[in-house]
Amino acid sequence: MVPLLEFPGVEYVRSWSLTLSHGVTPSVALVEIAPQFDMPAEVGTLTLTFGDVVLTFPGCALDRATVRRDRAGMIVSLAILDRRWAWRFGQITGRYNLRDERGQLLPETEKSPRELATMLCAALGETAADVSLLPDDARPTVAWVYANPAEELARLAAGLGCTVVLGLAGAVSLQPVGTGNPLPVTGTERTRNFGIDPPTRPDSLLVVCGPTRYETTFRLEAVGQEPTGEIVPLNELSYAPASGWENEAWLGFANIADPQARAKARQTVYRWYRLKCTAPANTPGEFHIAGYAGSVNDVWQLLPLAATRLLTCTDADGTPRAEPPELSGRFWDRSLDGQNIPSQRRYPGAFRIDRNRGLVQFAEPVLQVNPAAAAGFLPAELYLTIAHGVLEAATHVADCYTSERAFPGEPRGTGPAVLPRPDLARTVRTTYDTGNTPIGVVENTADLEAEVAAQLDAAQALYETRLTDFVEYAGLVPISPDGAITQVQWSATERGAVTRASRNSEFSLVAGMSRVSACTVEP
Amino acid sequence: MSTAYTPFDNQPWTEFVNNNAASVPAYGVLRATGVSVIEPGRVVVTADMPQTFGCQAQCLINSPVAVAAGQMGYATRTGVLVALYDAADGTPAFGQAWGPRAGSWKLKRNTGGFFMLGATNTTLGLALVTPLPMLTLRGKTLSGGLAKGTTGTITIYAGPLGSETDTGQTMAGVYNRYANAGSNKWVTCGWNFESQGWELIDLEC
Repeated sequence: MVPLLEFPGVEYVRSWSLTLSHGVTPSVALVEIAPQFDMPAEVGTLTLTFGDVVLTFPGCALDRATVRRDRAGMIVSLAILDRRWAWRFGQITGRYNLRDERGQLLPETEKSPRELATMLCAALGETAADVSLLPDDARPTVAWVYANPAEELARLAAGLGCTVVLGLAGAVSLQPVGTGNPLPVTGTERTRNFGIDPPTRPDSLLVVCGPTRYETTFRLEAVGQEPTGEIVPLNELSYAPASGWENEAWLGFANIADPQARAKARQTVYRWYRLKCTAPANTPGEFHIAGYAGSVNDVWQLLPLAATRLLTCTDADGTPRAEPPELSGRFWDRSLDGQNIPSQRRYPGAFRIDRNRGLVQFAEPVLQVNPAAAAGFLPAELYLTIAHGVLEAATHVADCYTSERAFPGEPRGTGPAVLPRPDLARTVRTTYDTGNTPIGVVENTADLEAEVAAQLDAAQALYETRLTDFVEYAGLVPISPDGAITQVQWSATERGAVTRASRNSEFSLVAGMSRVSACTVEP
Repeated sequence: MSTAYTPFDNQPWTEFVNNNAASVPAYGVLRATGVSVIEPGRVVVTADMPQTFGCQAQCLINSPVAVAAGQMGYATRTGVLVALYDAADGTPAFGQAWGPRAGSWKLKRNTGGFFMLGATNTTLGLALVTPLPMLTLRGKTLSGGLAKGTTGTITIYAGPLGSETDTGQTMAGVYNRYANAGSNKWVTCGWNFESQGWELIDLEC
């Protein structure tokens, strides 16, 4: 029997070899032919024939042709790519599994991994792809903007412990790494090598989510700015009236003699407030952040503040949007009876938040009538409810939710393999009673843990110790790659055909391997 | 203050210096006496305690902050104003005339200067008023009468039409350019914008 390789326009084949591998980059058939006058086709079906065995690979493309001269004469070498050559091209656009400020999935963006994979395969023209083995519980955030579908498919599969497989039947499938058929026993085996492939694994896996977002109610304190720029509490201002601010004419601070200081007073006094402490405390610097195990000793650990709360509301256009920060308190709302509002309520006027400095800046003075005197004013009693992160006191790094899973067995002192998941974030919203006292928290931890567990499962699968197998068969053996069978090579010369296949290992570097680093998902 | 959400912060408040020896209470009425250039580029109104019955354009209402003697504050007379009234004169009612009198920072009843809209806080003695310059007043001549071409003092009467009573207040410097006015005769005085003073414009024969 003479092994045959056929490709449109290729004649006088002397030898060939095709290695089929996992991934999204095309495998390569290396073909040596005698010189010929006609040009081979650019694209066509590659057929391997050996007796009754016929393997067809439609959609292959001629990649290159080179000529060399040796003692046998002129030899032309061809490189023919399987149909995955076309996967270099194409695009896909879409953002899915987005999460709101609470860390909750936005339902209208939800896509399961299988749905995402199906979309990607469709973008590649692989409408019959089998994605049924892809774990389907996770909801990885994807942001495809004219992205290459093949790269995104590989990334998605790797993140879930799977790999892209082009099977012998021509079907594309996503299969769990390490899971698949044994190499067949045909009686034509020439050599066989068994072994194990213990991974160089870390002691543990550590999923690191994006910065944790908290929502807390803070008590504010009135501050002013020195002409030098420093921001300090009102009574510490260098231009504070000797008798205090209580009876100072706050409409313009006319009794501050220095024009620079007077200008600063007009700009900032009773108009600027900053985070003083968490409610209901009243001691400057006393911060208790529910859900944060560390200590917050100063306000810088809470900055910059977020622009919103951890609540969402649905706009008229149906779009869920984060609610703006809430500012409430007790103040004089310019009531014509000269009285403060009777109880805490939301501040109705305009304000802006200087998120980097933790300042609330008002368009007009905000203050309260001194309830203990017939006249005079005091700073308003204000509370700001807003989302924020926490910077660790020692490292100055944002606090993030992490989940570590140790591998069984004796630790090797390697430390963990870090798996970043910036698309996931823990959210902790503190709830309060009407007296600004915390009464509970609302967290997304349960949802987060499920997502993280799926990530850990996928990553852990990559570090399993697997039995490796390599078999060389006489003749062409139709072996289809799967999650475990990583490479199959068919080759032939005038002396006959050989099939080589490996399980959980790779023996050829000729095939264009595509390994996307596992477990990374773009936010 | 254009972004303020209440009219209060959009009112044009004018800086003044309190030249009286006493503190101007919050929302008190005060009397403008002129202007003072404190330094180049900084001009304030000088103000003092009212010293006449009623007012025309010279009275201002202090801001919600008391202003000690010699100190500066902010006052206004535009729009609807919260002003301090004298609770000893009763609770203000809509339509009444309230205004300054000599020796007090509080608005007094049956006095010109402001149109009363109503009380807003009877405990603190606060009421809502709008400026309404007093351009006429009624009264009676003193026992000596008021001869043509002379100035004299008038006893001021105020109250419901036809039932006016003696306020106990007098207006000095009233000029009579018409016929001699007899003793204890009803007179109506008008505000002379040129001389910024009072003169008889009608008198009982």
